[in-house]
Amino acid sequence: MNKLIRVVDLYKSYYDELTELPVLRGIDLEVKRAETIAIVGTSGVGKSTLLHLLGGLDRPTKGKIFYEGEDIFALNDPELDRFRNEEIGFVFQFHHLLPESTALENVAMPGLIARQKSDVAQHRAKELLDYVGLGERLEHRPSELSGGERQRVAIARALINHPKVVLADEPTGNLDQKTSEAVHDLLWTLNDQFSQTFIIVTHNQTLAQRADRLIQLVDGQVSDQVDSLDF
Amino acid sequence: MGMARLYRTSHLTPWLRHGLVAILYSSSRALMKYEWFIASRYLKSRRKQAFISIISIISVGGVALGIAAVIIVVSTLDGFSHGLKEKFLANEAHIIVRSVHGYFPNYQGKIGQIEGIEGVVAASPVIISQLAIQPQGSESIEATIYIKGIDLQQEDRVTGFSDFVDDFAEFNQSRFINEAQRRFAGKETITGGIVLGYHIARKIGVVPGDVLRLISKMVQHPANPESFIPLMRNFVVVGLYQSGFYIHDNALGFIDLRTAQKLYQKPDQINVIEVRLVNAEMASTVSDQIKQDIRFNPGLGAIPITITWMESRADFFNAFQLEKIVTMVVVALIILVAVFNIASTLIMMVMEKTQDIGILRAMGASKQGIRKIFILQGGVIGILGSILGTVLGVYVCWRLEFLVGNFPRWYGLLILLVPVILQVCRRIWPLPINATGLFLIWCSAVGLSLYFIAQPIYLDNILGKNLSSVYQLNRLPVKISWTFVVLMNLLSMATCWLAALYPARKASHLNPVEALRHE
Repeated sequence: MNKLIRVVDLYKSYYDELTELPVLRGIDLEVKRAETIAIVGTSGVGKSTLLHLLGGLDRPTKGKIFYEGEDIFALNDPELDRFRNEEIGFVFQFHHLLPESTALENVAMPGLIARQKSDVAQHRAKELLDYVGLGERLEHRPSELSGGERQRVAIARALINHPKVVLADEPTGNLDQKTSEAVHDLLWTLNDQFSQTFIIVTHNQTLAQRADRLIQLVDGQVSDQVDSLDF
Repeated sequence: MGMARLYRTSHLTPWLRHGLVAILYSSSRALMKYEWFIASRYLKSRRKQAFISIISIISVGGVALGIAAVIIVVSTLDGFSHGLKEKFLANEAHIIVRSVHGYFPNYQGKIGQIEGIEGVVAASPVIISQLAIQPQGSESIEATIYIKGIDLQQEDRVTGFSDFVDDFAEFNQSRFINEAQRRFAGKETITGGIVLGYHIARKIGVVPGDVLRLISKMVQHPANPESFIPLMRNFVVVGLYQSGFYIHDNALGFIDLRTAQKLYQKPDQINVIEVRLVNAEMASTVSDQIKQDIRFNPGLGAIPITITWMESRADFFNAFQLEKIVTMVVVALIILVAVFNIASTLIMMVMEKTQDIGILRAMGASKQGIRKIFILQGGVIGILGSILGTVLGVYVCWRLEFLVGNFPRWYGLLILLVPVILQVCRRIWPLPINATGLFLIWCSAVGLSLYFIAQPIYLDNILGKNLSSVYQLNRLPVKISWTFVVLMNLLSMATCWLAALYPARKASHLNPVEALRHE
């Protein structure tokens, strides 16, 4: 029972009136608990699509994804919403914070969506922001934060509901070298401390190398599974 | 460029936003569901979205103006028709009882019977007929008028007749009669006194003291059977009747009942019983009771004919009702415009917030949750707008009804200049006023301004016309129907909610992955 996620023969196509645009063509993948996986590949190869499917944000054309043995696409919409809310934390390239809300409110939001009491969610949000080093910037809005700070807020937000998996879509794709390093360090500290599973889509060589496992997508398929040490 | 300018103008309205924020903040704190949180955030959003926060304020204002307009218009229309009704119910009989046979005897017994019916204040015997009148010294018949033969004491209890005649005590005893008798010196006789309607008197040019000839009927010429001569009686004008209702004052004359009976040679008979009720609204019930209780000579036509004030004034009330409906339709269009405004505001908001919707969906927000965010916004706009409009409308109505002082209306505009100047000064010099202070200053300025603008409307000078004598109302009365106010509020809140349905549905059906990519 060390397997957390099992992806079986996953297909995803986009349809444009008459033409079918296949993006994923039969992905098979297994992810262990507390593992960090880096997904690499050229632009448009379907990395983000795979991540969205792993997060239950979209439904596949064919194939299944099992979380702890449960087929998530057998869930109905409200169940899938709850699954996303409770089991998944998303970190996006462009941070995707709510522009009108403060850092604290942004981090607390998934808690509110989970119908936690406001003070409970905010308390936890405060702890997490302290943890990622933003304890002094609770009331700042995203526009008042630097790129690295925003991404740390986004990471804190992904963690608030104690998800099993954090899915990160190029978390440092928009940051400079030095800031990226800091964010990477944070991700690894989190992985060490909370044994969180991380699946990270990245172009960043150093980040990919630090992952337990590297998965390369080519033509919508997993081409190679290499140990990161051999990369 | 356009966006930049909008952003700058948003500085002008921090107090407005502040007010909205205060209300939404407290509500969002009380009900800290995330839908509430996001909905309130969007409504009061600042910075790049300042534009949207301005249009949400405009949406609230639109609804408020619509509601206020409906309340003010309908209340003044209602007040006017109500005021007029009160006026004519005060000097008209509520029910008129007639017999199919015309004149009938033993009327005092029937009057006693009618006065015994529950809800009847008094009943009065009357002879009504149409006569031609010819002022003394005039060559021709000047007019035909309705002459009411009345018993003064009984009539006063039904129509308050004496209240509308100045300087008058009795028909047949007056200094005017004595003077006329002296003038005639026995050459002609005087039958009695007549009280003439004010307008008819002016028209034919008679004043109290003048003698009128009433032509009651034609009789065969004693010498020439082919021709007829009019039967004329001399009456002295002893007073002028001024009820304020033109149709009455231009068509009525009053003489003593006994004199009328002699004039028509109908001793101890009358042709009309007038009835006054405690509550005029009970007219049809009492009228039915009269039809049941009162019988004239047995046989065909024994049941009396009754005419209630509602029946005799039906044309008037129908006209008012129609006017009210037409006005309401027009004003309802204002609310409709406001509702469309809400719909477009929310559609724009959905487009503006597409990425946020994607983020919320990624964090596990359900379709229903997203839908709720936008429906809540429509609801908040509707509720705020309705409450604000009701306060505004009721305040203006209250002011129109509240009779203190008579100030020039432009004072109101002058007062509005105070906060405007303050706003301008604030941009030049640092004044020690914060947004809350400014908000309060604006509120009191608008309130005070309306206090001067919405003064009672006096009818003595409406566009240069004096309407006060036409309607016998010196100012426009206002009558607020609270049922109507509540109904309008519910209606506008419901339509605002309906307006939010489409944008909300659109938002909830966005594909989260595409929404996330939206820039």
